[in-house]
Amino acid sequence: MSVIMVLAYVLTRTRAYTDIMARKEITPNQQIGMALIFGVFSIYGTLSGIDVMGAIANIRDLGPAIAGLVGGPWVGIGAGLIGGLHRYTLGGVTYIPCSVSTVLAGLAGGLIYHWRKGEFVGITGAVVFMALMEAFHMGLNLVIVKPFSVILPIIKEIYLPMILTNTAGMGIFAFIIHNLIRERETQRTKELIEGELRVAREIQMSIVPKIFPPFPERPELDVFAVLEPAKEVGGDLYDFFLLDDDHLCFTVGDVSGKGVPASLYMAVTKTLIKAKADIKLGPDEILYRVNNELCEDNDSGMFVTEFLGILTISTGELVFSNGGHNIPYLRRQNGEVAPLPKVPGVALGVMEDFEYFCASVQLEAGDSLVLYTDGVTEAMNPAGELLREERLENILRELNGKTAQEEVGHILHSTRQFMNGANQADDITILVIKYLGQKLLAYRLKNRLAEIEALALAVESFAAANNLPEQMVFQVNLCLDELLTNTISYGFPQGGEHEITVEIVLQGGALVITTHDGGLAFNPLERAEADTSQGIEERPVGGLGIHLVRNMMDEIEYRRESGQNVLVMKKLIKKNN
Amino acid sequence: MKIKEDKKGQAIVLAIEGRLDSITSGTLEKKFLTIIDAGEKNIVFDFTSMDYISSAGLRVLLMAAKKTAKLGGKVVLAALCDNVKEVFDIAGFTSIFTITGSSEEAIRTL
Repeated sequence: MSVIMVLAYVLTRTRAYTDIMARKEITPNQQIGMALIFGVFSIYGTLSGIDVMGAIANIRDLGPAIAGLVGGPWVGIGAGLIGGLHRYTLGGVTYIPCSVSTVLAGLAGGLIYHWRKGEFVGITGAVVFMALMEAFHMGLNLVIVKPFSVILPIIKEIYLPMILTNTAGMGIFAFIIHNLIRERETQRTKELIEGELRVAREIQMSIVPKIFPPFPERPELDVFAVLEPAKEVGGDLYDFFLLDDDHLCFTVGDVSGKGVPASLYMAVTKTLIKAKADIKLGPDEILYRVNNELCEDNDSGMFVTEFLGILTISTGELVFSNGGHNIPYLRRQNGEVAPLPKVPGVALGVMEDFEYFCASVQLEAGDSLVLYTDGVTEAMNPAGELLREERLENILRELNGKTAQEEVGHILHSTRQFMNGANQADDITILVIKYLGQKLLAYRLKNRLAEIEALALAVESFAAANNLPEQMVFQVNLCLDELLTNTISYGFPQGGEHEITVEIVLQGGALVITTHDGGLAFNPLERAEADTSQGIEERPVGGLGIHLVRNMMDEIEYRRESGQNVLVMKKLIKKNN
Repeated sequence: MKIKEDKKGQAIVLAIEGRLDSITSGTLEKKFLTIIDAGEKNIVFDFTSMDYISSAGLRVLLMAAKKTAKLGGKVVLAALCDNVKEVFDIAGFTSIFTITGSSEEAIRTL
């Protein structure tokens, strides 16, 4: 018996086996190989037999029978011929029926293989087949061998052991093969499922924005997000985009359901939101329209919770609507953490024509808006506890003077710490929008030369607060000095007190300086510039100021607007070495 | 803005402290003219403590250079900080003025 097991084991390690299992065609070479192996096994069966009254009880038929069941008629016959011929050469009383039935065993097995179209007949089938085959073998002996009186007692002795041992041997082999087949099927199903999950994850991850920082030219915004999918993709989504120069639209959502259907629904939702979003619509109107679209062809019965906000960048005003999603948190600059005001609304995709509502809140520079899905609040630790909102609030209180990326990292890390190795059942999504305000200096000065120095100090402290290079500050102040000196000296010949405004905006990589004054229409750019190639003798004294301004600023533009001179200059921020 | 006056050999050294802009340049101009009237013609402007100069200041220096040249004298500028030197470069003044690293050097060139 151990030989059988060893043989079965060895066989399963061969290429032919994997091919059989994969239901591929067995190549002729493989067929020959199998026939040989089972043929040799058949011979072994003969040689390991036990002498019973001149006949040998053995498992010779087993090899070809298996060969036929597993490899088809030709393999079976091949093995049978090898074993049968060997038996034939040994001679003895039963040499004809025994040799013949060995070959027939292979053929019969092969026919069953054919009948089953290559599929394994199963344990019961194999065992029954073997039993019948051996019975037939015994019967054949009784019929062929003469005289009957001699063969009968022999058969009487060996028929039972013959049938039993062969059947048992077949049973073992069939059992092993059956298990291996089942294992292979389980493996295949597992791969199919994993393949599907991979597709779902790819869909999900490919459509959420992943490039950070997303708006490098907008220093007023610091945005970062992360989406950690669960093993079975859970349908979380987030998105953000500029509606126009001054408005940021952003959203976080969670689709009911898992796997490929959820990821597809999420892709549809995200696309719809971006398509429907418009500066002329409020967040409630956008959700209203998206909801109607989702309800229209919603056979699946899935729905999605969704939060949508629109931030006016220049003022910090945030308007938002909610469709059943977790209410985001607002972490103020001073460390206060509170959820946004609740605004009613059902998940999208549930009911058509549903009216959404909006609320608003004022963000100040340094505030962080934290959006998340229930993958965070319903994260579970090994003890079965949920993270919950209170813990999340505490985590948010710990944030201090961090960038949006650091805040997201901290929240994610704390969530994972809480989970402590437990399985992640749902997608985790965290989106942080940090409002930095518009870096702006707005200054009013009177038309007196003495005020220029005070302006210079204000510019210096604005620059220090924004880490601007020192040389740049010097040059900006010098330019303002030159231009304002001109304006103050010549712009108001009538005299009197007048106001000049200076606005400096830090706008992504550059300083934009705008001056307004109500003096005489005067375009400093029209002034002839100094010729710097002239020597001391020839050099006129005038024109230097504007020459300096032109060379120190990267861009300069003048226009006359509503009775005011408006000058706009731009200087790019170059990092000092 | 403060001006410190010193006589060193053949030259008068004027050390400027603070800003040389449209408001303060008038003071420097007056001072300069007083010195010229007193018969001096070699002036060293020591800018070690001058942290800012605008075109008004440049104009005074240009005027000073022209005047001393007519008198057969010279103006030398010393110890310009980086930002001030940049202004001179842009204005094209570095090629028409003698500029030294320190006032001692400046005195030696005279």
